[in-house]
Amino acid sequence: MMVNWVSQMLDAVRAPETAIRYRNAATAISMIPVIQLLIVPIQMALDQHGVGLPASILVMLLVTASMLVANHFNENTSSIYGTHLKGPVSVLSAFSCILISSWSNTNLLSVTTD
Amino acid sequence: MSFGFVVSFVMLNKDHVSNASDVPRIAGVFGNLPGPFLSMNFSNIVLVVATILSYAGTYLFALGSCKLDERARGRYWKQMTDVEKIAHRSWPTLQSTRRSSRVGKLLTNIVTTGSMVSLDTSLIQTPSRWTFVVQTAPLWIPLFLAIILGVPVYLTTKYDMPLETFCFIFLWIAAVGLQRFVKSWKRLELRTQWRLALAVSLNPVLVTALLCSLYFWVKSALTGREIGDMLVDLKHHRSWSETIVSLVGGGQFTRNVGAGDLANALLDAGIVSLGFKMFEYRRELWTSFAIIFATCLIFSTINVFVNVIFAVAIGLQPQDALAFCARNVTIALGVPAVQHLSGSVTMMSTLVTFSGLLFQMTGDFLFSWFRINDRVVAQSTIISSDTETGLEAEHPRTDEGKIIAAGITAGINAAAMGTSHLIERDSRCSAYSALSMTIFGVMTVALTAIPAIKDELQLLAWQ
Repeated sequence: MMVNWVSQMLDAVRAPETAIRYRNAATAISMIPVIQLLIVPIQMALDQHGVGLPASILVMLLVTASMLVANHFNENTSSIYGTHLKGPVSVLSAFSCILISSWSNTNLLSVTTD
Repeated sequence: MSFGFVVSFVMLNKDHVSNASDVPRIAGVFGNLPGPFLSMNFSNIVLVVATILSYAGTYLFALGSCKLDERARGRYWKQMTDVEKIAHRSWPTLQSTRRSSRVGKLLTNIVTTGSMVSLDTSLIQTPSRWTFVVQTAPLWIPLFLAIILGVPVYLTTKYDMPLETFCFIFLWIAAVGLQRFVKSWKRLELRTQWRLALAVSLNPVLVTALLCSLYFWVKSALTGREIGDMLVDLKHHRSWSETIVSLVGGGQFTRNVGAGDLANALLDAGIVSLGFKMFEYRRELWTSFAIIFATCLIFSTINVFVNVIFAVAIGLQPQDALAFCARNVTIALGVPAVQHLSGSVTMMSTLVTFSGLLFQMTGDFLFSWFRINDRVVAQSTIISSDTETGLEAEHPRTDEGKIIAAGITAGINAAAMGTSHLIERDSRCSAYSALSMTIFGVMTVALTAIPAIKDELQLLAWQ
């Protein structure tokens, strides 16, 4: 019985669409700390020099520029992007909205209850 | 009721509401928004008119620029030739070819499977219970983790980051699922207007914001803690660089990392991922870069001055009026812009959120109203720079101008929330929106940093 359940579950996970969805989500989650590795030093440098710009915007432009340069020298870059990164990037973009929701907890509540 | 509407907006900015006087001040601007239960006053009319003018102006300017660009590049005449060719094209057309190929596939399937019975079984697969469980896993995994990991950690250590993280993810996914369910709810199939209204009002950001507030109220009632204290624990720092500096300086992990800080990392990743999206649509962006740049340059200059004039006309305090100059800029870039002018960051972030939510709630309707065919149709016709074929067949050039204009309009008026909404709906406008949002925001920051412009704006606000 148990073996049957496990087998059915594995079959469901192995279904092509589901497998791709989970792989994309896993890659997207693993990209978050990697992206922070780029952002944090730049943000520190900006803070140190009193520049009030968010590092994430600069890294976004940097990523586009790097990809364009890489694609200029190696045309396979776009196909590699399409194969491995496009799905996770879509997941990340769509779920960035969660931050906006998480900001929903403000001092207003404390203000109104004071 | 109007206060409740305001609350959800103001709550989007944990960092910027510092005292009780902020609440009625912001409520005064949004207090009587137009709606079936609410009355209009002068300030609301001005605010709504300003928003509509901003949307219409940006769209028309960008569309006009696209038309001019098409003419300048000679596309216009080429397009006319193409249309003529299409009109005289011999049968079968592209669409009918595709249909006949599908029919061919069906026939092949019948032949290979042997009978119609076997065809039915091959096409209709009853999803098993496990398939359902696996497909809905994103919903129940966070809930499961919140129960088996978040609650014990909180009860033993009083550290609420895991619990809140999983709870918020669960609430977000539930809110997204709820809206999708309503959009395809068969009971309302015949009442499309009702279904549309319900889907719009169940905007995931709005619903999650309300549910998160509810979460804190319930938690406060259960634990007896002040909501203010809980909110301090939710998000400790503005960015991860501050968190790391604090941790390296000997700070405790539990005192420096909350669920809001983790969400910050996710937003950073989301913004950076827009860079990849721009690479994906590099050719389209390159050909329309001049249009995007010109529109952003003109409208950032106009917006900075006109918005302050509008705010003064409403009768706002000078600090609030100055916040209006960055009301369409994404919050990350709006903060430095308003700080340059010594304006109210609270008001600015509320206005930005209002603009973003407005687009999220009305965007789909506007796209269908203007007949903008912006969605990526099928996997086989990926509409990006890496696809050489299929683009013109699925999306005629006449749509290109509309798509560019719509993307620019969303980027300039709804910033990050607008762009994320476009990505969610698989829109081809998302890359244009991301680039416009960035250029427009950077230009606004640059303009407000120029001493002459800064002095002029402050003069306008204080007069």
